[in-house]
Amino acid sequence: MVAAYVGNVYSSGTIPVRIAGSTVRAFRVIRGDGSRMDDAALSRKEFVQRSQARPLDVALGVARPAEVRLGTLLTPGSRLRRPITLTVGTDDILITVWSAEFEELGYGTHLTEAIADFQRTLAELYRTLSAERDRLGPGLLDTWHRLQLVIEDVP
Amino acid sequence: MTLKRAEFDRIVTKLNLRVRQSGDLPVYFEYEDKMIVRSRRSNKQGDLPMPHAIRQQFKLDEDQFRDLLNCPLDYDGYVAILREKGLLG
Repeated sequence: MVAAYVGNVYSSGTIPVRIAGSTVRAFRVIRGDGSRMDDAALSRKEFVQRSQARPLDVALGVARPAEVRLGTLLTPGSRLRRPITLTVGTDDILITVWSAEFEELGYGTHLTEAIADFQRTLAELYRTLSAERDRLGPGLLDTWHRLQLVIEDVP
Repeated sequence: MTLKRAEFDRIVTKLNLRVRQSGDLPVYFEYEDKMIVRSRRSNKQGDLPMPHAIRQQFKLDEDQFRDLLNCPLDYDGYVAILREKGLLG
């Protein structure tokens, strides 16, 4: 199973599209609210019409990105100073994203869910290390310093 | 390849990890009142993906992580590894 994602994964209404095999014929659409359309065997034309994808998206659609650059956190009160590079992978039926910079992982049944999982996890880590900053060992102290370079609190 | 939840829970027990109650389950290895390493067991159903990522979070190489899962590596052994890596301060 090859996964492809049409559109901007950070925008609302994102429609992840899974494509079986290396051609755009059968796919499952997972709507933004998590509900799924039935699997369907579609022509390339139908695929474009249903997914509202541009032909270029379809041409590139068989390839899941090897990396994504995360530009936002979901948590109010903090934001990223610069994008974080995430490596995209699969593990059984799950999509995973991994930050080597922070040794942090997110996963889900599709890329959008995996990214949201990562955003929650990173924000939780930031809050925890901030609260416990006076008793961090060398490794987590280094992580805390690196997090401060990337995340800032906003009023 | 995935890691079974029961295997992760065995690590939590064996290393006496501190579990923080939140949406997911962040876990921290603490030593002499210092937080040393952290990992997380998501509350999502199913096995945990990317065991090699979890291994990196625990600061272990492949053989050490295998020993941790299969029991030869105990709490004292883990402390010795972290001390050797200079992670205990």
